[in-house]
Amino acid sequence: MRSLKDVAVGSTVTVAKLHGEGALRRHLMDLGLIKGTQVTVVKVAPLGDPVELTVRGYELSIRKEEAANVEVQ
Amino acid sequence: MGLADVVILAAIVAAVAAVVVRVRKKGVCADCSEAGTCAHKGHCPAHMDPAEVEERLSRGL
Amino acid sequence: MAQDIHVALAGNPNCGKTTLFNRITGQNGYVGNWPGVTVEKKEARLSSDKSVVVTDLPGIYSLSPYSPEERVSRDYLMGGEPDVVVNVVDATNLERNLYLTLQVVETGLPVVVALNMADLVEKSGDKIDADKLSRRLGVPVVAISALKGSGVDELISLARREAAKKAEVPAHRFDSAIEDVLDKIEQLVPATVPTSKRRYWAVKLFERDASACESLGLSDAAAAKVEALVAACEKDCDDDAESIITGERYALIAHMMDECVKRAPQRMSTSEKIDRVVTNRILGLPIFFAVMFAVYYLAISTFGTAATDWVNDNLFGEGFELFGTAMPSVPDVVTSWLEAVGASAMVTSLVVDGVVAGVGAVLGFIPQMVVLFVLLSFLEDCGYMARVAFVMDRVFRRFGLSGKSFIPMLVSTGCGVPGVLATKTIENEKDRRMTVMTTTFIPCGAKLPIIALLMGALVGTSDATWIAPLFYFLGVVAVIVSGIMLKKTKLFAGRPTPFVMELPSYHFPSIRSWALHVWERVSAYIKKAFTIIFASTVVVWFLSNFGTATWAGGTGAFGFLPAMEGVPEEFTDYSVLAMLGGAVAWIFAPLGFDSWQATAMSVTGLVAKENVVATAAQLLHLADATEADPSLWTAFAGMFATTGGIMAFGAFNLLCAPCFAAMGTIRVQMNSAKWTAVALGYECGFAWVVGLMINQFYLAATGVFSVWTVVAVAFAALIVFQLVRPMPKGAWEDAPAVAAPAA
Repeated sequence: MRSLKDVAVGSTVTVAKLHGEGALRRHLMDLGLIKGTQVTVVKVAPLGDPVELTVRGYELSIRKEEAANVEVQ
Repeated sequence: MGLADVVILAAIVAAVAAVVVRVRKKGVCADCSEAGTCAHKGHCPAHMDPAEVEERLSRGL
Repeated sequence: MAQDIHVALAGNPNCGKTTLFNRITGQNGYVGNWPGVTVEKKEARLSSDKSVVVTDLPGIYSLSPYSPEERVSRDYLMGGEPDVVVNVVDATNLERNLYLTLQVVETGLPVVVALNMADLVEKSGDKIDADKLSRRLGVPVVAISALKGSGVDELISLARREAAKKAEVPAHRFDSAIEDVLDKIEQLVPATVPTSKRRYWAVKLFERDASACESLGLSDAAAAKVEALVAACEKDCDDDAESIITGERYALIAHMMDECVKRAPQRMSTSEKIDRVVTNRILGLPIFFAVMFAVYYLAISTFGTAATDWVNDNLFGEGFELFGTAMPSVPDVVTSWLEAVGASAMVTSLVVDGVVAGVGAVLGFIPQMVVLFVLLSFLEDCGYMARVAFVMDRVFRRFGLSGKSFIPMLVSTGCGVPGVLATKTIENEKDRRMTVMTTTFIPCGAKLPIIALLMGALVGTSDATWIAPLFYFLGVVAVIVSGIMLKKTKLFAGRPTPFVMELPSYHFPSIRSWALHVWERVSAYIKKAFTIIFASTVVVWFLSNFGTATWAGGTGAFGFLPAMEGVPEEFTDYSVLAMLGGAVAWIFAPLGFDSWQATAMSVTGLVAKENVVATAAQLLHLADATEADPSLWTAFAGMFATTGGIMAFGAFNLLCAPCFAAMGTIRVQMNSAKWTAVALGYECGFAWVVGLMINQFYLAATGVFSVWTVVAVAFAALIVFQLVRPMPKGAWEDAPAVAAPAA
């Protein structure tokens, strides 16, 4: 499975599926990370983590562990 | 000790007592020692329900 | 009251809801937008119409069943009290904000959408067609700027108009296949539920939202039918119910956006441009250091020092020139007044050498505090601090804490008490304990006078304007070093916790809220000076003026020293305070400040950190009868034998256990006497070791060695070892399965 964690900075991918469970999964969904959404990895913070994304026109920062739950293609 | 002395000393003792009473009632936090007009009441963690503070922060802003 | 209209204010975090709330209800609210500071539910009446009650719900992204904020909000909305909901929407982030809007509309209440920051959207070149949006949503939409005040009156009258409707059946519809299922479910909703609410429950049932549906009281048969319908739909869509609805909502929103929003050609927003630099991989941390350095430098070393010098040396010292006339200083005025009313020397000393000296010294630092608070408040309000949490997150992850642990520390730069309390947000108990233990290392507002005092004292001995920022970083480094060391012990090892955070756009804070923040902090400082510090100075005065006449040739009697016969110049050396201080002072010998005065200052500092300065001023005042140079700085420096001692004293007081208030808070937060003792013990121990190292290395640099030098080196080695040794096995149970690519 290729996840958001494996995406290089600057590239845009599409969300295929959300793994994980409960509150965190729902939260990611509530913020717009759902199947079919385009996500651009804008930046990786100094020292590598968290990851900054552009989703539906706004910025969101999540850690690499959370990004691992977002399957992309 | 003259009259002036007694008066001044009494005033000081009263003031110290007032401070003690106030500290007992309101606590000593630099912010929370405001007399009932705590501007932080809404967001100072001292007044917030722990679960809500927690959830809000874990969900981001 | 029967005629009261209830308005619920709902919206995403950072959408400007609170600004609006404060504007329409006139509350002097605090508007902050970095972690730990946003306001949650508040209620107040409209200042323009007392019969309208506005309830400000917590900032939420959705009405899911998962977080207490969301539950509180939806329980309130469905509870029957609100007559209308004003949904504040951040027009610059329309797509995400509309996600909540749809859900709010689904509750069946009348809704008015307030498109906030509409002016910013205009500036960016995007165009939003509010009328079209209104038709699609089925509710009125009005553009406002909560910050500037435009559109607010219209909003209020629209809200009142809608409130009269009492209920509104939601107009928007999802994909027909899903609508089909929802219709069938709606029929299974008990007949007692009013029409406007039926859709809400249908959707919740579809989402399998247990906490919502408990209250419905569906019969088992009905529930089974619902489940069957939902399961079938899931199979058809090859997705789970929650995702289906979420997807539908976003699909709907996408349509709306297409129809109602015309985008300007894509350019990077200013916020993005700034962030490119500020949170840059390589530059981010150094920039943070530079910023904090500049803040402390500006506050304490430049303008601030001049002003504070003036206050200490002139206003409270020698007097000053006002338009050519010589004005007496405060102590002079008070002294002559006291003489005039016939007060005795003792009482005069109490007032002038005790209270005025102590409180005056503390007040003297206000100019520096003001500058500092102005700068820090600006950083908070403009959104930079959120970036800092983002940047520090990785540093913290090194020792297994999330960026969330940094939040209490940011709060602690004001006062440690709310800082310690802010740790309640950290779910992981071990992490929380560790953060509680280390968060008071960060210099709070009360410690600033100590830093400033040290700065002044050290500047005399060397060209050290960088001392002030250095002590701030000492605190930060202490936190990080402690964190790393502690995490490697069994007591604290554990998995790092998840962290999801949104970065609000930068914006220039309104002068009003900025000034308000600064004023809050400054006034708290002043209040503290006149209460706790005042009381402490009185106590210290008594302790330092009363003692036993144990000098050579003295009678050995106990009493008011200055009035005794044959009392030497340094009468304070025989006071009760000297006795108490002296009993403990030996602990600080290797740290270079084993005078009873230094000990006494450290002890009074436990009551309130400002006392270190207040007590210093008092003791110096009593001793300075013959002192030619009244400058507080040099006199203070004179209390110590070496520069190393001064620095060690500073470090010790900055790092050791915090004031009583904070200690009490630690006790509350740890909820265990044992852990409180551990925390305080660690803090004092760490402070002592750091003081030792500073003093000994300073001495070593000047060629003075002793057994203590060896001890200091040993401690240093121990720390380094604990820092670099690998994490004990099994500390982190689930390491990510996939190795992180070299990004």
